[in-house]
Amino acid sequence: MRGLTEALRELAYRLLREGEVELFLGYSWGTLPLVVRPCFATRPEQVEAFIFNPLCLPNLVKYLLRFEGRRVAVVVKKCELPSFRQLLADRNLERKKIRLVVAPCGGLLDPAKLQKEFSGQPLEFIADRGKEYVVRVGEEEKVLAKQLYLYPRCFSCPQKDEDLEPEDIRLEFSTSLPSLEVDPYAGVSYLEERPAEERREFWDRVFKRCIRCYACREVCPACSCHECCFDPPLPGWQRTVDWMSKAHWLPEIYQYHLTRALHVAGRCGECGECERVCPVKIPLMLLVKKLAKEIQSLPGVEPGILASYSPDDPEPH
Amino acid sequence: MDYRVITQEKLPLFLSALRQSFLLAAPVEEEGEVYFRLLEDPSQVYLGPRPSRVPPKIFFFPPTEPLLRYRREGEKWEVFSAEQDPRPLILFGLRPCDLQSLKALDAVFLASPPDPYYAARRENTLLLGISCPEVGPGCFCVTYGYSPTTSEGADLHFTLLGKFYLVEVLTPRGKKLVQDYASFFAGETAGALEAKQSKEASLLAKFVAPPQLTGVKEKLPSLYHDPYWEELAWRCLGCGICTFLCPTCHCFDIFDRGEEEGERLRCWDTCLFKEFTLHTSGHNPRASLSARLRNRFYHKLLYHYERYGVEGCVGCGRCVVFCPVNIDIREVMVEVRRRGSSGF
Ligand code: SF4
Ligand code: SF4
Ligand code: SF4
Ligand code: SF4
Repeated sequence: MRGLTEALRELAYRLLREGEVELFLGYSWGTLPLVVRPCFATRPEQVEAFIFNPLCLPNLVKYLLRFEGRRVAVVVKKCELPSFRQLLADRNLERKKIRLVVAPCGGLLDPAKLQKEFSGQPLEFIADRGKEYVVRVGEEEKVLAKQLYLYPRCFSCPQKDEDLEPEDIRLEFSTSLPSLEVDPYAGVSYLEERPAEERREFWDRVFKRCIRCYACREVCPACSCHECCFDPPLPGWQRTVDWMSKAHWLPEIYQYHLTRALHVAGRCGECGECERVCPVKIPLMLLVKKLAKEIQSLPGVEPGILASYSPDDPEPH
Repeated sequence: MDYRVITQEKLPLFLSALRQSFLLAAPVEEEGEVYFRLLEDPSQVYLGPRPSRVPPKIFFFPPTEPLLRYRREGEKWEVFSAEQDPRPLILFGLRPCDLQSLKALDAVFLASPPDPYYAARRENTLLLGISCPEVGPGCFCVTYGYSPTTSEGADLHFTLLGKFYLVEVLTPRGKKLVQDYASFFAGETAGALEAKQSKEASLLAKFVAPPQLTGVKEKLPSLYHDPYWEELAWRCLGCGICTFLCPTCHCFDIFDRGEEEGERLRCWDTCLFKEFTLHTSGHNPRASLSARLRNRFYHKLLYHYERYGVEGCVGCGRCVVFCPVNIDIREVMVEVRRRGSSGF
């Protein structure tokens, strides 16, 4: 898959050199085995760091907020387009200034699952054969069945890249993800059928781990409020009584997560970033999927409908 | 120093026996990840290569802690002190970096006047360390001059050597413990010290290019206005992972919970949150994420040492491994050495 990385670098080089964009947002290898991180290039000579492969997990679209008004190209995967469109609407971003670079993605791989198999060894991706990836580990070539190693969110890959603008770019490369026919709400349905007591035990156990680091909120493209209700507007000792405190106790933790889930309901693009970044592995996607499922069950209502906007709104934010 | 050995089979029995008289906490697996928990079943102790995600500082500096309770009776306010669990606690399975991190926390909380909440917990807790079985991908303890088998700071320290553990008895409290539970231990330690040394050597050989500390403190001041911090902050999310999971980070906020009756709480806070330095006037001296991220690295690598003479980072690698966007303090150290200059 070196060809794909080469094509990406060439594109980034051209866009930066010809001044079509001021910033190119993509991915590079990180400092740990199997870890890929966001990478920012503002000069053509920086493009050598860029890569694209099935370990490029982060959703980069929220970074666009930091560069509002600048001409930016950003690498996206198909599954991130809903979150991009939502961000565009929520924050009224200038679409003209944004060039989407849609990477051909045949499904991401779960680093945790790979780690068990190839602890510490770097992987080189050779080819995408639809149902499997061919990789090189050391001297050896290996075949990885997607069914076994796929990143959870990819089991419900939307498989479409609609609503692009003519200036957007689709990188061509032969990749494919066979339709996996997995019920995206399977986890939710399973939990729904458990007795209430068991559900409570489950949520109590996972939420007790929450350290209130807000990584789930910071990474979330639907959490783009200028001021979040969970950021106190005054220093602690001046707030007198706090009813939205940062206490790491179950009632407060529930308050945070349920509030957040309701705030993003109908706007969440299900990119799965909240769950990926959580340092204590709280299955946050179960919450947002539950809400998505509820919304979908309403007659004639599609996700996204709870937040509709008029482009002429004089106070867009 | 005094030494004992304990067999692998006897270790869980020893821990079970401890549970009769102490609260006992140790690393266990919960949904596949490792956390310190109060132990119900000592056979569940996790002794594998992964360190706990959340550091053991939670036992001394809990994420949320009541400082006092209050109640209003008409015009009068009654104030009560918040009680602590008086039962003595044993922490088993502390890594060498966990033990080192307590030096950094002690410097803050035990400096005169000591913080009574922290001091009471520290006093009430016995520390049972363990040598690391492996070197993790983010680990760089060697940078700070100790190793994956260093026992400093523990009351007792365990190192697995084949089928038994060498037990180092490091303090009078540790000595009392092995005396009270003498039946679990043997005194015959022939060859064990040498075996520990060769284990240490083989672990040390596994570090690939750990960052160097020389020059970092000297060069940091020259880089305060360097564009490096802003470029680094482009990627940073501004979350609380690196600081909340850091075994030496210790910032907190204080607020009240409950109107007529409630408690005054102390709660973890972090310099990465934008309201951390927010003034009453609305002014924020660290309004940008780059200023906040820079503060974190200056605190870890310079300020803590300047203020207390103790390193503010112990190289545990938690921030390295759990940062969702791979901001790596080791890389920062390398950059500081490369870019900075000593003196002003
Ligand atoms: S949790 Fe709610 S208020 Fe906070 S940023 Fe997200 S949507 Fe906005
Ligand atoms: S990322 Fe995880 S630990 Fe952090 S606030 Fe969100 S749920 Fe809690
Ligand atoms: S360095 Fe990483 S863990 Fe720390 S605030 Fe930034 S994104 Fe979060
Ligand atoms: S700064 Fe990072 S490596 Fe250093 S002690 Fe804290 S978490 Fe560990």
